[in-house]
Amino acid sequence: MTVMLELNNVSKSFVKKTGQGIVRINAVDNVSLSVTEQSNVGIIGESGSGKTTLGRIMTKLTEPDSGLITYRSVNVTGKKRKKLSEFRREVQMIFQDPYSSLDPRMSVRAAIADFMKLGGNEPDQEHISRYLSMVNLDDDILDKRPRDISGGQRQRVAVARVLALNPRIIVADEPVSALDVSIRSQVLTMFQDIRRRAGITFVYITHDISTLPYVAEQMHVMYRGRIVESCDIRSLISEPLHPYTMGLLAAVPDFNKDTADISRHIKSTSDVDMVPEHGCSFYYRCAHALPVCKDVDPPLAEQEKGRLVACHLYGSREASNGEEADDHFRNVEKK
Amino acid sequence: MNSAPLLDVKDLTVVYPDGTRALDKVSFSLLPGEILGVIGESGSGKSTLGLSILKILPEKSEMRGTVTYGERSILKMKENELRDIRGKEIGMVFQDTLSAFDPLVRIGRQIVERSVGDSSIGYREASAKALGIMQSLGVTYPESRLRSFPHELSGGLRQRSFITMTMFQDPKIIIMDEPTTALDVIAQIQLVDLIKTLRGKGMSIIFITHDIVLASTFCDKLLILYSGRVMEFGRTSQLIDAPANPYTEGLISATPTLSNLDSGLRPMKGVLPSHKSMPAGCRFWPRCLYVQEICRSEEPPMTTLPGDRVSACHFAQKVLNR
Ligand SMILES: Nc1ncnc2c1ncn2[C@@H]1O[C@H](COP(=O)(O)OP(=O)(O)OP(=O)(O)O)[C@@H](O)[C@H]1O
Ligand SMILES: Nc1ncnc2c1ncn2[C@@H]1O[C@H](COP(=O)(O)OP(=O)(O)OP(=O)(O)O)[C@@H](O)[C@H]1O
Ligand code: SF4
Ligand code: SF4
Ligand SMILES: [Mg+2]
Ligand SMILES: [Mg+2]
Repeated sequence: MTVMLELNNVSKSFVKKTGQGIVRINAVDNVSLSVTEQSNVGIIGESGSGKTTLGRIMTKLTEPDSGLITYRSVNVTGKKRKKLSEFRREVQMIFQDPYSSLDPRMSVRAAIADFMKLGGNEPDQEHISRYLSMVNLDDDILDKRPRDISGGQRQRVAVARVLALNPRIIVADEPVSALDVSIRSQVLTMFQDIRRRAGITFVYITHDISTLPYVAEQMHVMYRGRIVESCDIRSLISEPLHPYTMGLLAAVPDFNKDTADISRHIKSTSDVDMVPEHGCSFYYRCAHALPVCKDVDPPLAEQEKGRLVACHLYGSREASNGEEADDHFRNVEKK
Repeated sequence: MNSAPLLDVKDLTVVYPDGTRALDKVSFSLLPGEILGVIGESGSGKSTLGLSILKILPEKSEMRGTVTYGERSILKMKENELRDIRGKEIGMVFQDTLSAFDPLVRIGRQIVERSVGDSSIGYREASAKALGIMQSLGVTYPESRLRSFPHELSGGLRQRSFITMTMFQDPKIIIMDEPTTALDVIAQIQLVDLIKTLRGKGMSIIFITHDIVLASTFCDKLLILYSGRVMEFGRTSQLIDAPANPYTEGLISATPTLSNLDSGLRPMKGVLPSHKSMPAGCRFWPRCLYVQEICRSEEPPMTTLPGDRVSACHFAQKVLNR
């Protein structure tokens, strides 16, 4: 299991105009993570949590303000994607809206051939057909243009095209959210197939946990630009630790389940913008908050092997109720 | 279950000017205080259904059948009569709220001006009312939101603003077209809570979506559309626990959920047929796991099943008993 791509303390902020005036938003705030060969990564978080920005940093479509990016042991920080020939071919991103990535005037055949050339291969019918069959499409689609095929087919063509570059990592940003539920499972099955057959590692970005178990193993939960929990998918589903993760999980609709009551974890407030000056950025929405949370920002710390969480509830194993946690943190603060 | 329907749609057929038959003999009814989920894949005719109820289809579209609101027949109404229905009795929240708002006018002004229109309340009273609705929708800093331009608000807030505009005239029915597609799971839940509150106030909701699992968590009834035809209609619990139509069953098992992880993904093969090459017989047969010879030539009749439900399948009873 070799580490392919590594991010070390990367950050990126934007200046944004809102109803309350001009504010600086830390879209990605001091994030570290690594992508290991054949272990697919899932990135979860609600809208605005910084998922797309993180994906763009990973693929070097956006340069971080600070931090280090290493690809196959080479420091690629500060280098332009265009100048990194290997990286540019091997690390690809696919977007939520396949319209935006496909040229409306180009036929499916031309779109794939184009990318084969970019990848340094001479396009031929045999290979083009093979890439199409990897995404479960028939040759009869070859001469159609994006507008003449369905949304699910378009998303597959976008994937087939990227496959023509022989990538090693594909960052997929909400690749199925725009698709009908019925097409969604077709595309998810296709991702499963590709991983197996082509040995590509996926970074899968979404706000919808229900699709993740099919495509990823290593999860990172993002909140306001930070990773607040990291663990494997099974632990995430069976025993989420961070209150935000608990809320995200409870929010997933299921058959024979009433509308979830996420208020046990996330207080019902649309006031997602309020953040205490020093404490946990989730404080005002957290239904589990302790007094300490308002003043002390919890660090991302290892709980068990392979499980990281940034939450005072787990400040110490014993600190299971408010008072104990309080005492505990008073001690921590003194140190 | 004895109360008279608020809205009754019978054999509604809609043909667009280019000949596309977007709806074909669609029938269903909506009771007061009921949430109806309209489910279907892209192109199945969901938006057309919403637009037909308000009669806002493109000119020269053909509409047949009846749409009865209370005692009145909407399809027979003239423009001036329709003006008293649209917005005031039946409101609609369009899928694309960004383009539904005027980009150059502040949200609050749009809500008030569009709504005050010909009603008797004054500007100040109207602003206070808009503010009150915003608050009841859980919007913080409602004053500053009302002063914002549409593009300055997040999708969720823009949608709440549009709902405020719709609720402003106290309609009896609100049609929401795909209101959740652009929302993340948490914003989705907030919207669903809101819809339930509206139902609590006696409003009826038509909730259009392609997400059957989300609809199943709060809709009272489901109407399943396929290529402009009703496949199944009935109470949500019945349809989900024991579908009487292979298409409903297919949609359910194709939906990834956390509880069906172990059975893996079971995608439905194929896609919705195009209107130019509609299969003969049952429109679903090329994708159906139960298809028999008869399905390829004969359109299945609407079968009424126990419990006030209907299914369009030659083998409805068999599928149900499976
Ligand atoms: N180019 C940009 N200019 C200004 N602000 C930006 C830019 N890109 C992102 N942001 C802001 O950074 C934050 C994170 O955005 P990002 O798109 O990464 O979130 P996301 O998790 O992908 O959200 P979504 O689920 O809605 O796609 C948001 O507040 C967003 O408005
Ligand atoms: N103005 C129009 N003229 C001609 N055909 C139309 C028009 N509007 C829609 N259609 C066609 O009518 C059918 C039903 O469209 P409709 O928009 O009602 O589907 P939908 O279920 O709302 O789909 P989606 O989930 O993509 O919104 C489709 O085949 C569509 O292409
Ligand atoms: S640190 Fe406190 S406020 Fe933050 S998530 Fe944990 S319990 Fe909630
Ligand atoms: S009528 Fe036949 S093809 Fe249509 S849904 Fe029923 S079994 Fe399937
Ligand atoms: Mg995004
Ligand atoms: Mg529609």
